[in-house]
Order: sequence, then C-alpha cells, then structure tokens
Amino acid sequence: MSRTLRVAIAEDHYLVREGVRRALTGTGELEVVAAVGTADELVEVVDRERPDVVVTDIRMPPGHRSEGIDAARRIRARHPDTGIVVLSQYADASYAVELLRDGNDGVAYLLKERVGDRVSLVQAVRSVADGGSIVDPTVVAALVARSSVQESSAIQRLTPREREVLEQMAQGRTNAGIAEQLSLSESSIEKYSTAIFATLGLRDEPMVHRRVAAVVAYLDEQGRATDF
Amino acid sequence: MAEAQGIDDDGDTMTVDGLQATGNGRPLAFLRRVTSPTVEPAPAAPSATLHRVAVWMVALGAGAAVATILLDALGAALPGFAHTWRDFLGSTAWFLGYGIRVALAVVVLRRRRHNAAAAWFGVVTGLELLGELAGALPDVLAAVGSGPTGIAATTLTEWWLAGLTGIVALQLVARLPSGGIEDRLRRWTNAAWMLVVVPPLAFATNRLVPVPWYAGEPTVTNPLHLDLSEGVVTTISVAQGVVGSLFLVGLAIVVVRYLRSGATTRRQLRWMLGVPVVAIGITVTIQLFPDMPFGVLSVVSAAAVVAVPVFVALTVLGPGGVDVDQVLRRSLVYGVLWLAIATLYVAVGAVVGTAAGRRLPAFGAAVLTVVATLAFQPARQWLERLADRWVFGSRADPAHLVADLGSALQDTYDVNELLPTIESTLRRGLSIEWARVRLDADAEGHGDTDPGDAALRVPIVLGDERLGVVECGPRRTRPLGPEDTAVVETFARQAALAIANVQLTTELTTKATQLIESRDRLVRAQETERRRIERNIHDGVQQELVSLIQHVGEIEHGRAAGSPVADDLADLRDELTQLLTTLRELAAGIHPSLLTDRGLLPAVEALAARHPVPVAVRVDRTLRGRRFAEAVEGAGYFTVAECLANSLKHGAASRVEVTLARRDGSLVIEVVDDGVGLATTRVVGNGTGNGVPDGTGTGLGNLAARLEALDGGLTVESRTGAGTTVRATVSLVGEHGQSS
Repeated sequence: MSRTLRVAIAEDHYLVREGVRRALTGTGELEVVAAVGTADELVEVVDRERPDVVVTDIRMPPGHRSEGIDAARRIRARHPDTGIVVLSQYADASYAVELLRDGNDGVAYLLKERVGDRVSLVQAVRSVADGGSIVDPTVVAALVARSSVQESSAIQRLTPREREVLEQMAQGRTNAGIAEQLSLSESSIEKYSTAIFATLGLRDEPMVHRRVAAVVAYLDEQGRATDF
Repeated sequence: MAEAQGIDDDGDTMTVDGLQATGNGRPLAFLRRVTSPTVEPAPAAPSATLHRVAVWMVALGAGAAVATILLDALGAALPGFAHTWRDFLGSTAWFLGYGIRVALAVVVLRRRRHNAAAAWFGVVTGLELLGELAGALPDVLAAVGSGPTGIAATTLTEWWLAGLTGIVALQLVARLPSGGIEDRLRRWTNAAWMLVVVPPLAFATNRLVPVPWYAGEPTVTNPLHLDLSEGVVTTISVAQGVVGSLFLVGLAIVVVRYLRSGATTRRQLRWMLGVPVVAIGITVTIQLFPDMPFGVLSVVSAAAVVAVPVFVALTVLGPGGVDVDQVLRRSLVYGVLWLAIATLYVAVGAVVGTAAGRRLPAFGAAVLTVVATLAFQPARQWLERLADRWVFGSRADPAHLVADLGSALQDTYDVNELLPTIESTLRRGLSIEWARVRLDADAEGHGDTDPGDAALRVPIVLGDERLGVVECGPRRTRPLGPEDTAVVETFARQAALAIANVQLTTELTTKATQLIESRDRLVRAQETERRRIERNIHDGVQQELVSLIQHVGEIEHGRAAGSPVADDLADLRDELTQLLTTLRELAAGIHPSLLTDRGLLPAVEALAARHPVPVAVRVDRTLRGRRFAEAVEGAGYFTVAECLANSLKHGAASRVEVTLARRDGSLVIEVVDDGVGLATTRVVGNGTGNGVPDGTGTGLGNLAARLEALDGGLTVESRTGAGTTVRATVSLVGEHGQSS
C-alpha cells in the first residue's frame, strides 16, 4: 500500500464533520491533519499543513452558498497538487460541472451520503490523490437520464451498452476500471469509447480526467436552455 | 310669388321652410331671418391708431367742455347777451353732464383698452363735446357782432359734427359689447361713412343760416349758400334727414342685436335698452310740459342726455369677469339708479306741484303733490326692486340654486374641488361677498379670504354627526334675511351628503391601498419564511441524517461482511439514504438552493431536467447569466415548477416548452404543454390576488398573488384538447440585475 495520506476536512456541521473524520480514519490508511468549519480556515490550514487531499462541503459560513467551491479553486491555484473531494448535498450536476470546468485532475464530486460507505469514500480519496477525477454515480445517472430525455439528443443514438460505458466514463473510471466494472475487455472499452465520442461529436480525450470533464460537460449541456 | 323666399345680402335666394305661398311671406321671412340668433362676433381690440385717435378725441372733448362752460360764463358776464346768470346756473346740470361724460370716456378707455367699442365710445364722446362747443359759438359770435361768415362757419361745423357723431355712433353701437362686429353690419356702417358729405351740402342749400329751434327765426344770410336744382336739393334734404335719424338707426341696430343675441350677450346688452326708454321718456316729458322752467328742463334733459353715455359705458364695462371693484361698481350703479329714481320721484312731485300750483289754489296744490308722492311710492318701490334685480341678478331662488349646486357637484369626487364649488355657487347665488365651508375634519378652511366675521353660520349635519360649517359673508346691498338662511340650510344639507360621499371614497381608497401593501408584505414574508425552512432542513435535519447514515455505516463495517446484521445495517443505510434524498427534494420543493446560488435560469433548467416528460427550455439571449431580485426569481421559478407539476397531474402532456423572454421591461415566462387542457376555457389572475376562480385546485392562485405583488400578472389559456399555456409576467423595472 502507499504511504499514509494526509487529509484536511472542511464541514460546518459538527456531527457530520466528526462522522467524516471517523469514516476516513477508520481504515487506518488516512490521517486527518485538520478539521475546520469555514472555507477561509480551510485555505489557511492547507497553506500551513500541505495535506494531500482536501475533503470539503460546498455550503459553509458565512454565506452558505458555494464557499466550498471557491475555496477549492483558491487551493488549486496555490497548491495544484492537492486533491479535492467535494462532499455535497446537491444532486445537481451544475456544481460538478463547475468543479471540473478547469479540467484539472484530482477532483471528486460526491454526495454526502457516501460517508456511510467508508470503503468507497477512502477509495475516492486515494483516486484523487493519484490524479483521478470522480463524479458520484447518482449524479451521473441523473445527468444521463436528463440528457437522454431531450429530443434530438445524440444520446438517443447510443446503444444501451454504449450508454453504460458512457456512464462509467462520466463517473471518472479509467478504461481498466470500466472493463472491470462491466466485465469486458479493456480493448472493447476502448472501441466503445471511440464510438461514443464519434456519435456525440466530441473530441476523444486520452487523459481520464479530461474525459470526465468533457463527458460531464457534454451531458450537462444537453439539458441546458437554447437561445433565441 | 310661388314660394316664400328671402334674398340675402349676396343676392342668393333663401327658401324659408313651412311658409305658405302668400304675399305675406317675404316680410315674415325677413323678420325671422333678422331676429334669429346668430353666432356672436368675437371680441376685438382697436388698432393702435384708433386708440390714439380715441384718446385725442377725449382730450379734445374735455377741452371743448371746459371752453363751453367758460363761454357760457362769459356770455352771462358780458352785457349784450340774452344769456343771464340764472341761465348759467340753470345750465349747471349740463356742465355736470359734460364732466360725467368725460369721466365715463376716460374710465371706459382705460379699463377696456382692448375693446374696440371703448375706443369708438371715446371718439363719440369727443365729437359730442366738440359739437356742444360748436353749438355755443354762434350765439357768442352773434353777440360780439361777428360777420355772417363766422356764424355760418360755426353753425356748419356744428351741423357737420352732429352728422359725424351720428355716423360714428353707428360704429360704436355695431361693436357693442365686446368690440367685435358682424360682417354684414360692418358693411353697412362702413357705407354710412359716405354720409359725411351730406351735412355740409345740406347746410349749403339754406339761404339763411339755420338756427336752433328755440332761437326763433333765422336772420343771418348764408355765405356758403349754393344754388342747386330742386331735385338735388330734395335729394340732399332726404339724405340729411337720414343723417339726422342716424340716432334712431343706431337704436334699431341695438334692439335688433339684442333680439338676435344669445342669453349672455343679451345680458351684456340690456343696459342699452335703457336708451330708447330714456329717449321716449324725455320726448314725452317735453311734450307734456312745454313751459316747465328752464332749470328743471335743463336738469331733466341733461340727465337724459347723460343717461345714454352712462348706459353705453355700462355695456362696454359690463363683461369684466370677477373684478375686485365689481362690487363697488355695482354699488355705484345701484346708487346712480336709486338717485335717478329718486330724482324722477322728486321731479314728478315738483312738476305736478308746479303744474297744479298754476291751476289750483295752494292748498289743493299741496294736497295733490302729497297724493302724487304717495301714489308714486309703490311705483318707486317696484322700480327699486327692478333696479335691484337688474343690477344684481334675480333673487336667490332656493330651488334654482340647489339645482345649480346639485349639477355642479354631480361629478365631484375630490374634496379639493367640492368645497370651492359649494362656496362659489353660494356666493354667486346670494350675491354675498364671501362664503367659506369649513370641515371639522381639517383644521384650516378653504375658500376666499375672509375679511371679517361671518354674517351667517350654518352647520353641516348628516344624521347625528356634524361634518362642518358653512359661513357666509355679508351682502352689501341688502342684509341676509330668513329666506337666505333657508337657502344656505338647504345647501348645507346637500353639501353634507356630498361631503360624506367624498370622505367615504377617500377612506375606501386609503383602505384599498393599505390592503394591497399588506398583501405584498405577506407575500414577501412567505418567501423569507420558505427560505428559512429550507435552510433549517438543509443545515439542520439533512446534516443530522447524514451523520446518522455515517454512524450506521460505521457499525456496519464493524461487523463481519456478509453477516445478517451487516446486511440489515446495509438495508438500513439505504433507507436512510433514500430518506435523505426525499428530504433533499422536499427542501428543493420549498426553495431550491440552486435558485439562490445560481439564479433563475439554471434552476429552471434543473427543473426541466428532472421532469419525466421532455421539457425544452428556451431563453432570450440577453437574459443569460442575468440575476434578478430574489422575489422575482422565486416567483418565476415556482411558476414553472407549479406548471410542470400541473402538467403531470392533469395534463397528460407529451412535451412541454418553457420560454423565458423579456418584453417591455418585464420578464415573461411561458409554459406551454400539449396536454388535455383545463376544463375552463380562460382563467385569469384578476388583480385582487384571489387568482384563479372556481377552485380548479391548480395552485396558480397563490402564484398570481405573488406575481401581482411584483407588478406582474398571471394568465392561463387552456382549451379542452388543445393544451395549456400559462404566461407569467413580472416587472423588472426598478431592480438591479447582476450578471453572475
């Protein structure tokens, strides 16, 4: 196994903060170096402690709007290697899209209930530390469903299998990971991937984190308003 | 004649309907045409030249009057005149008359600078006074032994001035009362100028210089005599006769104009009707009493002669609007009238007494005088009443006044209009100096300045409640009596109703405004409350649920994987997660944080995304990235949410389209679906905040109220089988949009 990862937590609700800490430290693989309640404190702590990964809520004092995402951006600007895991109440992909927009690696958007599943939570932290990008499957599922409902959506033209692959890609899995998940060969996944990108008219992104961003952005775009 | 026809000035034939084809048709038609009302000519101002001429003439006239008086005095002082001091004193009435005439001309010219009739009046006055001077000269010249030339010249001047006066007087009467003249009349009066040549010619036809009627036979030869043929002489005599009767022509013009005028002009012209009265009166008096003493004759005739300019002056001064000294003038007029009547009274008494004295013994004469005086008393009172009514308008007739007030108040809903209307009607109707209505509701009164204590105070009472008081100022001519009090009381009663009505209306308006403000406050309060609840759920309950889920997960991991407990715990965790999702949606239903964080458009897009049926969202390019006021975004979002929910519940639609547009400073949101439609064909937010009637249960009623509180509205168009269109508008005026 790799070294012990150092993690900083930002969450204003006391119970949830402690819950996250327990979830992360339960396996013994991670070390929580700080647990703060506001975005500003988080930035300070990151400057001081230089953790490997930051686990943060979106909505925090003082404004209770999107302080978490702003903080994430600030941290990325100063410490590009720090991984960001956002634990969010919102199932809406808009926040995920914004998070991934910069195309950086090492970003995860998870729903808060993930704290109940410590294994996947820790896994996400590890992934992010290694540079992967993850989007919570629930969010992806809603995204895909929404975009396929739109008429004239290119998603309609994908085969069910391709749809599955697309979902997995949107979750941020590597080809290897997708192959494992769907019990297929990696080469099949690659073929599917090419086909999907062709159908959707997207440029094929070799880098996983860019692919995630591209796919999620595309899916999100489908559900947006048209101009007139 | 086959038809009754009239010929008008331009030679066109006019047919008068309904007249029989008889020989009597023409005069009747003429009469009808002459006396039918016409459009009054507009007031006209004199040209600068005319005004200057008028001023000069008045000045000359004043000079001539002074000269005449001096000459008369001279005549009395110097020996060799038939004139004596007694005659001079006897003529004081005339001299007074000159003074009055000059004064009148000055007053009229100054006060009615912009009335052409005033200018002509000045000219006529000047001419008359010059004529007086010319009339006095021949005697003087004769007495100083001047030759026939001088006498003839002055007499000619006198004749010519008299003729000119008559011609100019036509210009004057044609222009009463406001200076404007009808075209037809203008043509005739302008044509009359041609008669200017006649007096000299007529003078020239006499071999001997003509003398006034009281001077006996003419004795001086006329050096200006012209020998003309008989026919010519006759023609000239006729023309001179016309010139001499121009006075009557002028009178006729006045009478005809009076008959042709509408009520207002008649009122202005009625003073002129005094002229024929006076003329007839003086003629009759002189005929009845041929040998009255010179002094009496002088007074009577002077009064008559002065009366004419007085009447003319009154006519010209008449329409003056609300003049400050109108009251004074009226009093003056009334005083003069009273004086005239009193003089007449005394004169009658004196004349009767004198005449009787010649024929009866002293005692009988005295008795007759007393009897005549007493007999004249009721006549005098009647005359005074007539004068009163003439000057001050008809007496306050209560029914008439109240009807006046009623119609004036008919459309008055504003207190600021109401009180002045009552006050002015009262003032006019009773001819009082001022009137004020004071409401108990407000501290200060409205109405005119109050120069003193009220002569009359009448409270305004409605039922048991006292609303205010009506105060009346004094009446200068006649004190306010019980019948006037009755009038004011009737006014007060009518006013009470009107005032109460107006006050009610004001109250209602105030209440309505308060209600609307109250409703708006409620709507905003609801918004705030919702946001508070969502915050509580999100930051409170949801978080705690998360913590619970995490705790369960912890316990689950503490157990061996695959054990029944672990499975149960996993199930529990799933249920809790489901609960969390439900709670999340509930919170979003109350107030989605996306709306607050990102704005209307992203929130609507999210709504559309979650909807089971395809929803296409279209947005005006300029609205992208724009944020609006919280209340606006909230109302817009929930309208869309409600419409989508309704579409599912009732609509069975297969496709929905949501459009966000901007029109005329308002945000317009349209939600169109192709479902089955609502039962009612057209249902509209009716502006009272009650929204959709007949309880269709669509929840759009509250939305309508919310939108109306933001200066917007909601309309629903739905036809069975043709889908539903909901349109919401919100005003964007006065709020800031920020780009996110």
